[in-house]
Amino acid sequence: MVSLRESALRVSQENSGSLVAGTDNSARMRLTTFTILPTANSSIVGYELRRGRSDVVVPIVYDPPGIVESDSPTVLLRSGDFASFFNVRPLAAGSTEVRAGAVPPFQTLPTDVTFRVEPLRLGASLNAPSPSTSRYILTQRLLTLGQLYLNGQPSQPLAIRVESLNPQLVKVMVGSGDTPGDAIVLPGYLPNNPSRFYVMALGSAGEAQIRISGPGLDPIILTLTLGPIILSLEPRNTSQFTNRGPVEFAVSLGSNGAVLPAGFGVRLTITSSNPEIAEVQTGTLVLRDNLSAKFNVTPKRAGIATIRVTEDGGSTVTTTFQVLEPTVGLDSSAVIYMGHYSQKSLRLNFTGVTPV
Amino acid sequence: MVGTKADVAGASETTVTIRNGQPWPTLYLQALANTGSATFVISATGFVSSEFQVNLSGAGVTVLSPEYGAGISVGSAGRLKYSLCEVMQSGGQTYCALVRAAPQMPPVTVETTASDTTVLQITEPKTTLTIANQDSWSFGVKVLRTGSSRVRVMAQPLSGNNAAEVFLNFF
Repeated sequence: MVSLRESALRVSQENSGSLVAGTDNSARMRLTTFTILPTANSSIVGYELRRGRSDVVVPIVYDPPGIVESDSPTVLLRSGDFASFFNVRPLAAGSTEVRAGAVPPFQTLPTDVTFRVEPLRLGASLNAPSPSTSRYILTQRLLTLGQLYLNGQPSQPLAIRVESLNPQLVKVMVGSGDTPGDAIVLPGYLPNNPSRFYVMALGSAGEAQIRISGPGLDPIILTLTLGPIILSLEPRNTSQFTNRGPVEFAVSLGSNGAVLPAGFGVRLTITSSNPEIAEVQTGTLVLRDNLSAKFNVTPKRAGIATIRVTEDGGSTVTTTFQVLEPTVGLDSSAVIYMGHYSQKSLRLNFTGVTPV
Repeated sequence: MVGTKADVAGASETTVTIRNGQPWPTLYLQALANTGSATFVISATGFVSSEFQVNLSGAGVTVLSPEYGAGISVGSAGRLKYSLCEVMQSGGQTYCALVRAAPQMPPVTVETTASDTTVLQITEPKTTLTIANQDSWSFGVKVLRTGSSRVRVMAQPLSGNNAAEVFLNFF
């Protein structure tokens, strides 16, 4: 027995994912013919259009219009097929329902697809410590790398403007070798054009902001807390004997991911509080790309000296350097008790030399 | 005196040469008096010198073993072991710390007596020993029967605890 049922048209989305306005992304849609069955769980079953029947032109309805568009307002469903495909592209942010228009004798099913088109959103992050969202800690005189991102690939290049709202405190630049400026415009956007920029902190304290904006995009503000250059010095509070060679110290910049501007160096002045005790071999150093350098301190005579490293911006780090005289003695206390006609063996003991 | 060998009398001054890669040498201090103090200085080229003070005290004998007669059974022979010790004062108490005899120590006349010769026979009751550079010396004894006996040792010429007595039990 053959039971005849009604047919219907239905639109469904082939690929998952949301659409973003202003981008080239699209959704692949499928228009399918169905036979409506009276079952509880599966009321419709796909079935091919009967051969011999003429093609069916199906209008696609967008409610409301203007959110997405397709290549053509209608879709052709050929005889012998049970599905036809078409693409929809985002037009503007918002929600819209997509369904097949009325084509008698096919029934129109309830809304099949609801598209939510997200607005194109701009984001940015800096390669720096971030105590909270959109807040970063920048080090004076160093370049901090910034990275732009969008939630979709724009259909055409977007000119992104990065602007310092406090140009006396921070500057911006496209490349690390560029001249720092108050504002830059990144001429296009991903993936072929640069989406990176640098922020240079001029001040050693206070807060500054940079504003990042683009056409049709909500601007974003990043708040920057400025701090001084932090120097670290190793080894800390060390000692050396006068008969030993110089001690090598390493000074480095605590950059927190920041870099020095191209061709730019941080000049360091190294001093000893008492050169007669500890003599600094190199009075000045310039830190460049590797952000660290080494210098030697030679012990001269017994005492304690403070080794101080100061960069031109005023940041300083110090460590104590104790110089010891080598001594000869015995593995004994200073007072030895001995009985009559007794003898004691005592080993010579040297400081400042390594025992065999 | 200070020397570089335990069995050789030292001098008031000695010089050692330390070559690169060699172990640091051992010095031997030898006490030749029983009272007073002495000062000596260690110095080496290129190093800060150190000064030490030696406080002198008397020395005597003490019984090392056997403790309470342990280890010697009735009817058998054994050895009583003695050692030189130096007298030390600490915390109001007097101690006798074992020491090694200096090579300058003259021969020591030792007299050993047992309080009960029916229990313990001293086979070498009196002798003169050269104990220089030795840690200890001993005497032969023979246990004749079960019982107890004190053994007294007199050593001359020692300036400190020159007599030692030990109480021994034999079972």
